[in-house]
Amino acid sequence: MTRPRISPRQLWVVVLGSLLTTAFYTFPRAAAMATSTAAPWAILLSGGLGFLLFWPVVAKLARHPGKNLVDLAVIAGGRPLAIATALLLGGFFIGSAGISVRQVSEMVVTALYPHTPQTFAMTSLVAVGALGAAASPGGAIWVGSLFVWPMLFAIGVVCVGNLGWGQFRNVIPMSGHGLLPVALQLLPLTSYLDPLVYMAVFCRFIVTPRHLVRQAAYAVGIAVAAWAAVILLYQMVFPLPGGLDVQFPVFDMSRLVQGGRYLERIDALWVFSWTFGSASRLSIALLATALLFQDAFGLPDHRRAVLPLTTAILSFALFPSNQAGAVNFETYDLRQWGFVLVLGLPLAIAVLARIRQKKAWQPPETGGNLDA
Amino acid sequence: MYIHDLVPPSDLERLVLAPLAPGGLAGSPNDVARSGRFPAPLLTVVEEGVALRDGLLSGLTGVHIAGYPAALLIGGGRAPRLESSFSSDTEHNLRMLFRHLPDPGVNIRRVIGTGGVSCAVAFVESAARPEVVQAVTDWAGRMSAQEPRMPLWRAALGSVRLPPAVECTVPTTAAAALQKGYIFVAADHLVTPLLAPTTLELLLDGPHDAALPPAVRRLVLWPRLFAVAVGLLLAAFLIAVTAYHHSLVPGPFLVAIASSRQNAPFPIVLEMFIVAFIGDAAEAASMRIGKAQLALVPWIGVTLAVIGAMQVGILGPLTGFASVVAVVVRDTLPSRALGRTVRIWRYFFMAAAAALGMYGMTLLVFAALIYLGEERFFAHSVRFAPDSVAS
Repeated sequence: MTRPRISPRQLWVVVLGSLLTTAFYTFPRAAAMATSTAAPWAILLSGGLGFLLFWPVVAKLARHPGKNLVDLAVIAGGRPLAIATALLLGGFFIGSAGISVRQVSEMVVTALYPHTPQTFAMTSLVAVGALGAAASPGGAIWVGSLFVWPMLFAIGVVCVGNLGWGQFRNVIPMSGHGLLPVALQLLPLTSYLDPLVYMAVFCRFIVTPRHLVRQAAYAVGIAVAAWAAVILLYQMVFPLPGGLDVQFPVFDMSRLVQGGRYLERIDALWVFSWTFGSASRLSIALLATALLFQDAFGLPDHRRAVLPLTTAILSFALFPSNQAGAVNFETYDLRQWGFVLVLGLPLAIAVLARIRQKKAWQPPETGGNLDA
Repeated sequence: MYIHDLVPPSDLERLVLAPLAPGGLAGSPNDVARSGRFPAPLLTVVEEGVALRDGLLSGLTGVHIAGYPAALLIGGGRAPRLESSFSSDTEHNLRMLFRHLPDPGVNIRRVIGTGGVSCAVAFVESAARPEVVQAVTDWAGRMSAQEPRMPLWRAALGSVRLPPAVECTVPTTAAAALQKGYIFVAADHLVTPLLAPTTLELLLDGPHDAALPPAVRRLVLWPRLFAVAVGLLLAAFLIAVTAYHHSLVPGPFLVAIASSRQNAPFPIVLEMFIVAFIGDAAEAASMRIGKAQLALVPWIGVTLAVIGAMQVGILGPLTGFASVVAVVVRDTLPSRALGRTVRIWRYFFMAAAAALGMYGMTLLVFAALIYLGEERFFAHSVRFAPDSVAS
C-alpha cells in the first residue's frame, strides 16, 4: 500500500475545502440561532479564536517533519493517550460525517427523488466516500483539493444571484443578543473548524512542514471570510427570526437564483455540488480517522480500519429519527462541546509534549534524560 | 489547398479508401500502421501543408484519418524535405528528436520486442526517474508489431482505462516533454512515437503547445477541460434533466421538448443509448473491415460511416444534438486516447443519469476522479508531471 503523498499547498487546500463543505449548508443557520444578527462578527471572531487555539499544535508539528498528532500524543502521554486521542477525534469525525450523510440524503430524497429509498441514498453516498478512503488515498486527497473551486464558485453564484454586490452596503453594524451572549458562543462556533485537525494528521506526509502555521492561517482566513459573506447574505435574504426556520439556508437561497432563459432554477445543480462535497468530505474524514487509528493501534494498513468506520458512519446516519433531529443533534450536541475535542485535545497534547520534551532535555541530575 | 488536388490519379483509389480508417476505437496513425491494412514499409506523419504537398508531389500517397489533425504519407521512400516530421523509421525519429533536443544528457536504450520489433527508448538522464525508465523499457520489450484482434466488447472494456503512453506527432513537443522527465519510445512499427508515462498534463497538451508562453498554455487547458466535461456529461445531463429535473428547464423549452417527443417511439434514455451505440458501432465496424473486403467493395466503409452520421437525423433532435456535440467535442480533444476513454465513460454516465439523475452523475464523477487520482502508469501517478516532487 503506497502512502499518500501530499504537497503543502494541497494540504491546506484540502482543509479549506473541508471547512467550506462542513459549514456551507447548516452552519449559517446554527450561527444565526446562536448569535442572532451578530453572526458575521461572531464568525470572524471565532475563526481568530480557533486559529489561536490551533496555532501551538501546528507550530509544534512544523518543527518535526514526519510526525503527526499521534506521535505528539505518544510523547505527551504514551500509547494510551495516543489511543484515546484516536478514539475521541475519530468518534467526532465519524459522528459529524454520519450526520452530513443523513442531511444530504434527506435533501436528495425529499427535494428531488421522492421515490428513492432514503437508505439507498445514504448507503450509496457512504460507499462512494469509503471507496475514496480505502481504494485511493491519493485520489481522495486530490479530489478534496479540487473541491475548493466549485464551492467558492457556488458561493459567488449565490451571492450575485440573490443580491448583487451593491446591496452589501446596506448592512448595518449588528450586535445580536448582546455582547456577552455572543462572546459565550464563540467557543462552540470554533467546533466548525474541525477539519484543521486533518493538518495535524496528514502533515506526516509532507517533506518540509515549515510553513504549516501559515497554511493553517490561509485555510482559516479564507474559510471564515467565505462563511461571514454567506451568513451576511443569508440574513439579508431571510431576515430573522423567520430565517431560523430555514433548514438549509444556502440550498434555499440557491432556489431563488434564476438561471435565465436556458436554465430556470439551479437547485438541481446544487445537489451536484452538495453531494460531491459530502462524498469528498466523507472520504477525507474517513482517511484521516483511519490513519489516526493506524498510527495509534499500530495497524499495518489503514484500510483495515475503513470498513468498521464506514459501518459506524452509516449507523450514525440512520440514528436520528427525522431531519430536524439530525440538525439538532449536530447543532446542540455534537458542536456545542466539540471544540473540546477538535481544538482542546490537540492543544493539550502539544503543550504536554512540549513540557515532556523540555523536561527530557534537562541534565539527568535534575530528572531529565538527554538521550530522549 | 485540398489533398484531392495534389494526389496523382493513379493513387486516387487509395485516397478514396483513406477515410475508411476513421477515428474510433483505434483511430490513430499507430493503429492504422499496426492494423496491417497498409503494407507499405514506410509511413510518415505530416502536419504541415507544405510537407504534405512535397510528399505527394514526390509520388507518395496521402491518407487522411477522420478526426485526426495530421495526415499520413505512404510510400517506399522518405521524401527528402520531410525532415521536420516523425515517420515509421526509428532512426529518423531519433534524429528528429536530437535536432530539437541537443542535450548531452540524452540516453538511449535499444530493445528488441516481441517478434523482433526494434524499439528505442530515449530519456534525459537528469530529469527521468530511473524506476520509470526501467518500467517503460520492459514495456517496450513486450510490444508487438501486429495489433491483436479482439472482440469489440473487449476492445471497448480495454478503453475504459487510459493507455500507458500517449502518441506524439511533433518533435518539439517530444523534446520539451523529455526535459520534463517523460520518456520517448520509438519503434519501427510505430508511425508516431510515444511519450510515457501517460499523465493528465500530457493528455491535455496540444501538439504545438510547447511553443506557447506558459500563461497562454495554462489558459488553453480550460477550454479543453470543458470539452472533456461536455463530451462526458452532456448526454447524461440531458437525460437527467428530461427525466428528473424539470425545474431546471425553462417552461417554453420544456414544452418544446415535450412536443417534439410526442411521436417518439422510445423513451429518451433508450433513444440516447441507441444513438450513441449506433454511432460508435458504425465507426468501429468501418475500422475493422479487412483488406480483402475493401478490395471487393471499396465503398462499404464509407457507407457504414454515412449510416453512422445519418442516424443522428433519424431519431429525435435532442438526442441528435447531444450526439453531434459529443462527437465533435471528442474529436477536438488533443489526445485521441483521451477521446476514446471519454467515449466509453459516456455510457456509464448515461446509465447513472438514467438511474439516479444528477445524484447518480455526481457519484460517478466522484468515482471517476478517485480512479484518476490513484491511476498509475509505470509506477508514476497520472496526476503529476514526472518532474513533480509530489509524484
